[in-house]
Amino acid sequence: MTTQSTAAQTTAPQTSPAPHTDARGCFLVVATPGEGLPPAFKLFATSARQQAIIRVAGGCKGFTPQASAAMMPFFLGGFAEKDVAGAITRQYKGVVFSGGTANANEDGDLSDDMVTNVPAVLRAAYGVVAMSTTPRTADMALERKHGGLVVGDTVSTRIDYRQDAAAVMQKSASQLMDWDGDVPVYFDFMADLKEAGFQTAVITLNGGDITRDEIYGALSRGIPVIAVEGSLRETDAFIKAFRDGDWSDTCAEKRAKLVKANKDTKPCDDIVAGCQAILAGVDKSLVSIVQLTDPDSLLKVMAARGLLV
Amino acid sequence: MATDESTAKAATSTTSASWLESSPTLFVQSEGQSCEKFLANFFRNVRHFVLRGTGGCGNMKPEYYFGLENLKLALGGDLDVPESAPLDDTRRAKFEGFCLFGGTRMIGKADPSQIYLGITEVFPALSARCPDARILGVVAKAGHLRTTPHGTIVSHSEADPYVTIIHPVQHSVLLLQPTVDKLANWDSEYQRCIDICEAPAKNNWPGLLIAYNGGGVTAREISAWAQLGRKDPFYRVLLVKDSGGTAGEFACDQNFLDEHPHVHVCENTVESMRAKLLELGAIVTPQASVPNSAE
Repeated sequence: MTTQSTAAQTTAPQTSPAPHTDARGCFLVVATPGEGLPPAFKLFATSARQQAIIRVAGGCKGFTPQASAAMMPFFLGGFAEKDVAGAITRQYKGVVFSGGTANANEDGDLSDDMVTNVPAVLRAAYGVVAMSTTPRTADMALERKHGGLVVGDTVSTRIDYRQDAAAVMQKSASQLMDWDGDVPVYFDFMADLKEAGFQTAVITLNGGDITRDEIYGALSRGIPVIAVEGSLRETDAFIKAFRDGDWSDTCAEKRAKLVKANKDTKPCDDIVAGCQAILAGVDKSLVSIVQLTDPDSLLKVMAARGLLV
Repeated sequence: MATDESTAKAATSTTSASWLESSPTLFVQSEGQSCEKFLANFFRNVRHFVLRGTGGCGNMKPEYYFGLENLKLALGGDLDVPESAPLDDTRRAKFEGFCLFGGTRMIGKADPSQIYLGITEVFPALSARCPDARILGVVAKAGHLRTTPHGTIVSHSEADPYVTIIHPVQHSVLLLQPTVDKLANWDSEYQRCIDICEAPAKNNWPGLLIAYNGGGVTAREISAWAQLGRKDPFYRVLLVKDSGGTAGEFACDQNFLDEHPHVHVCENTVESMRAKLLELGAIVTPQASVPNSAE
């Protein structure tokens, strides 16, 4: 037998999972819907210690200071069960992904004030794999002082570099995308993972038209939706429709805009009819309702859905 | 030429899954298209290791057939090891991970039940022996497709006594074609496999190309991996000495081996193959097996 001991030493076999973090920083790709998310990006999901992926969708428009302050504790409390001494007894160890943007201050430090920061916060706290897909709705820029990647119209809107992997979706190098441009792509990603045995869920709070599409899009694909009550706007409108059969708040913001502009509101009627058709055909057990001010309500749902290990 | 009972049996077996569920999924990829559904195989909860198997098929001389069985035993474990054997007994070591291979089988024109041996018979046999392996075929559409009661023909030549079909025993198949009307060349298989390996390599998974016998295409694949391995530790190579063909030639080329320290060589025996595969992490004993989800 021919042996090459030097080579064997430099290429020792790896039998344990590789660390998911790219040593250089947050792995970043720019992709177009036609080519889809690159495999190297997608495989980050397989480095999670649990085969599960949760999309956190929505926003925090109109939040009171109290609601804003409650948001991160809600997620931190809902993703890990702790004993009286504060030690973790069960927790979520899968992938958490979102829209991936973060607000930065002049020193380049990122805030934890948006829904899109949830993956990075949970990564720091519990070691989940944090990923994102972001539609490129503006020309990108590199902030001059620290080089952060600016993806919005203002210099403070950055890609959250505290994540493991981020994908920016664009129509082409010269064409921008609508805010919902990444939604079909990330649903396809979740569907592939689901088929491979991953548990899936979408947690929604607040949000407008896109969040509504995400809620009903998830349900129509058999993906569980955990709706956060008290978070306002389309998420609360969905809860009202689901629980009480009251559709009056669904598409309400868009309707108000059309009325104000003296335009026909039939597009809103069509949207509501579409949502009603979806809801009528789905398994109601796909929906869970939790309260923003009660992290335990999220913890209970996470446990009941087998998302804590 | 032989009748491979184990793989033939596996092809028709309906053990725990139904025949439909146990049938391989087939994806056809034209040039310029992505193949996300095939790549989604890598999302499965399978140990992170990519084994690419390549080598001789129709042109392999019969005197080298014996090594194919050695390779099956080395990758699939010794079936005669008693249950009482310790968990760290290396004879119990098996391949766990994702295996990319040519995805085809050669069957006789005169008698389709006759199977012509080649490297692509080794890896399907693992599907029965190695429950924690995902066997993935990448097939070049070298001829216009024909559906037959004996399988889907992907190439045939007047000169050969066999036709090449898509192997019935594997988990998933990617069929490569330039377009619906154009034929692929044989090199496209290994080139696509290198493309596929790019993502696991970037995610720090380990990889290994094992080459047995083979001709010009195998030589080009070995060279490509050897070159890539200079920059990326994913691209390691294991050549089987005395396997004939170009793999056997490379295995005796000391200059080549000296220039590429990540290219390894084993003898054409079960023991030697097993020792190298263990060293390189391609096979693991039950004791050493660690699921990806383990902390």
